[in-house]
Amino acid sequence: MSNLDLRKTLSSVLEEDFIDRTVELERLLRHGKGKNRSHGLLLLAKPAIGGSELLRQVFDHYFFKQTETVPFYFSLNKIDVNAKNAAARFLQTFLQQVIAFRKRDSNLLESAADIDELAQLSLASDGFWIDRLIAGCRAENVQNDDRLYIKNCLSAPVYAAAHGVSVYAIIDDLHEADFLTGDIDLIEELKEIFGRAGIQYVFSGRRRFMLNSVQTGNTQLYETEILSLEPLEFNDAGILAENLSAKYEVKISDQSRDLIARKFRGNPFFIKSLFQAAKEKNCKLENFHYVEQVYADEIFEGRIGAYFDRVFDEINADHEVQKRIIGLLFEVLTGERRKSPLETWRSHLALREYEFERAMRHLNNYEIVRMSGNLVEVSEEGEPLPDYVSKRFALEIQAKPRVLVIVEALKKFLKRAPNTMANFYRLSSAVDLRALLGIFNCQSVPPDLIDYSIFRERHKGVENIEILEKVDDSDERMTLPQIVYTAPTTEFYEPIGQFIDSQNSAVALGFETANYTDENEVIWLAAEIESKLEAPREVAEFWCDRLEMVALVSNFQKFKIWLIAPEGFSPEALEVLKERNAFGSSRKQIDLLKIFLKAEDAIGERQNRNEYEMVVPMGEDTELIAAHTVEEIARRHEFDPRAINQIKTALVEACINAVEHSLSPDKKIYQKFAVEDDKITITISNRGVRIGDRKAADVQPDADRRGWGLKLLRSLMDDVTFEHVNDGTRIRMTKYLNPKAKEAAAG
Amino acid sequence: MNSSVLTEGKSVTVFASDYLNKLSGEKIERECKEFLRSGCRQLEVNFKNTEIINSIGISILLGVIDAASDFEADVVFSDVSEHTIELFEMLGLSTRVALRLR
Repeated sequence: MSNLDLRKTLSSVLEEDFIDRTVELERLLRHGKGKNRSHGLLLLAKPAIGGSELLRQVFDHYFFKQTETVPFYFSLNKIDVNAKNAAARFLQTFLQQVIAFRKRDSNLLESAADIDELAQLSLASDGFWIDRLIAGCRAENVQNDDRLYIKNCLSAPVYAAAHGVSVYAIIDDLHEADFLTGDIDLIEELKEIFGRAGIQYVFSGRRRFMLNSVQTGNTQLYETEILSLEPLEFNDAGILAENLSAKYEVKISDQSRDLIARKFRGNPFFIKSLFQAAKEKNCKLENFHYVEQVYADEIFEGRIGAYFDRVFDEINADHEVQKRIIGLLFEVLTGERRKSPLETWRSHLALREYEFERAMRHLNNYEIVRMSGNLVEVSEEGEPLPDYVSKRFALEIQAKPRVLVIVEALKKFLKRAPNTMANFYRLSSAVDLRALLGIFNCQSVPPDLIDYSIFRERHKGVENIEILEKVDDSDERMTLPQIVYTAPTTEFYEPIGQFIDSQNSAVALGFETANYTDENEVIWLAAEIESKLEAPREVAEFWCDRLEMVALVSNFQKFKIWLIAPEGFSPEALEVLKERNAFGSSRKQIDLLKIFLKAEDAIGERQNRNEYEMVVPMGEDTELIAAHTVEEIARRHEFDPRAINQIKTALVEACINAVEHSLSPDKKIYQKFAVEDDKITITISNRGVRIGDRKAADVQPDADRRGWGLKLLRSLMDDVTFEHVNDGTRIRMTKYLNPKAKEAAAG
Repeated sequence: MNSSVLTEGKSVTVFASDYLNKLSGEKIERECKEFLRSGCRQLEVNFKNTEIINSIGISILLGVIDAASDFEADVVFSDVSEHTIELFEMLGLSTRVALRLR
């Protein structure tokens, strides 16, 4: 029986809804077709960021495509207890998936059939090799040769390949092997078999475990490709929140969406947990208060809390040991120093050496701490871990009443929310010093763009375009260093964190020229400092002193200080900088430097500054106000008069569409105009009856003239899409500045 | 928003307003039909003041063309901007009425 219309088996969302990992998904699909360099690919993922879902999507894609490639997905699991059980399940899963694929029956994937029953279900063309494979494995089992039995089971995909079956093997959650008991190392066996098998395969697991385990031991997989799965970028996390809002019918606002994206640092599991909880509790997430309330419940008795409970159970099942770990984490998280000596942990935990190593290894693999030399650094990423630790510390160590702890936590979360966003806004508007230093790359630049004393004299009050023309014409150049490594200054000298956020100061190690000798080594110490006007002498002195202290403590021999102040530096401050052999730049110089280095994309100019928004009430010809506004915007960005007229008319039509038959409850039209280099994108949204849900009789009585508005939209604009949103319609229309841009966009 | 009218014998010129939408379109239609009923046989709709026309306005103009045809009157749209002509072409009006460019 074929049931391929279901389109998902192992994955939890449909492929078209899985939009947040397009690049990674495409790469994995390509790998299955053998289009990458090597047979093996390592997917290195941070914990709980959706690596398994991504791989299951790959399986489903191949399963339903029914090409020659037979997908096989296996996830290691500690429930197997030992390597032999895991290998037996590996064989059973492999046969089940191959037979289900061949018979085009996804129901078989759910069956509990044993390997003999599966063999009976196989197609005649596969029967021969399947019977031989089962017989071979069984023979080793009867002889009690566990190692050979495990090898035979794990070699099933290779055996199938030898009989003409093109298998794409995806083996997930390799870190679970750490929990299996016995003498046989499953990872070693897998590496040995797949490392030389000649079939396409993926090994996936927590990144710190993977890097350590695949590049050590008897077989080292250095020839494999590596795909790193990072948390979602801020914008993608926002899109995920919007999708989940629609899926679970949980209302959000732009502000609460951004808070959710930021507080979870793009972790899809946490974001999804929040929406699931809101749905179950029938709560909205449309303001900070609601978000934090649901979040507090999640930390105390929801999925997020349960996730961390499981993690700590895996680290050490003994609750007394867990309490000691929580105590240490709390101390570091609330103290001034993020690092503490490994010896402190060893003495506080008072475990046998094997147990201590195991606990620290799991803490490291879960990225709760980072081990660097003899220091243990506690992760600062996101809010859930510190909040979970604080909860357990208050309940289990301080033994505070539960109700009191919940109330205190909620108050803390509510007070913190605006700060979370404020910190994010600061981070977003910072220069991104490390990225900028990283692309210096021995390039020659006009000194005008680095040295404020030159800039002040020649270019103050001059338009950017004019400055760029001037410096382009000039032959004066200075060579930037070749930077090979950058890090926040706090990594070298933690106390400087009292004066400056870590993203606003960086240490860059490199060479003055591309000649990599000791004499050429140089270190740049850069800081983006605050000052409303030109930074005065005292500020320049203060920062030179601080950064010289970093150089002294870190034993940097040859270094250069680079200060960036929003409005540059006063003449007195410039004197100080000259005495200290330091550079001072203004923010405007940095913006120009980025343009000169063509580095705007590389260093993450994500926000579109040319974005306008307006809300107009419906009725009273207010679409004319919108039309005149867009006319002004389009004119500013040099669209030609014909295009401007087309845009205006299209906008009027979109507004009319929003008004007509929508029965909008708030009677408002929401408009956004975003101008990029080569196009303007207009988004018109309204609440009310969605365009596709309108009754035919509502739309237009005259059959001949029905749909003229939509016809005009499509004719006047280059690209028009209609979207259903929660309780309304959104029309997105794009007009390109010139035909070439339109052709390029069309591919 | 109001249209204005010039009459000369059996010729009438109706001036469309700056924004031709449902309301102003219906006003033109009503006026044109009244003139046709009172014997006008040369009807001109002048667009010199018109900046924007929407699809409903255009569909009402079709009603004017149909009415003129019923009365066997000539109808011409004058002082039409290039952009408006483009819209008329998109929606098939340009084949049903004489157009004079602005």
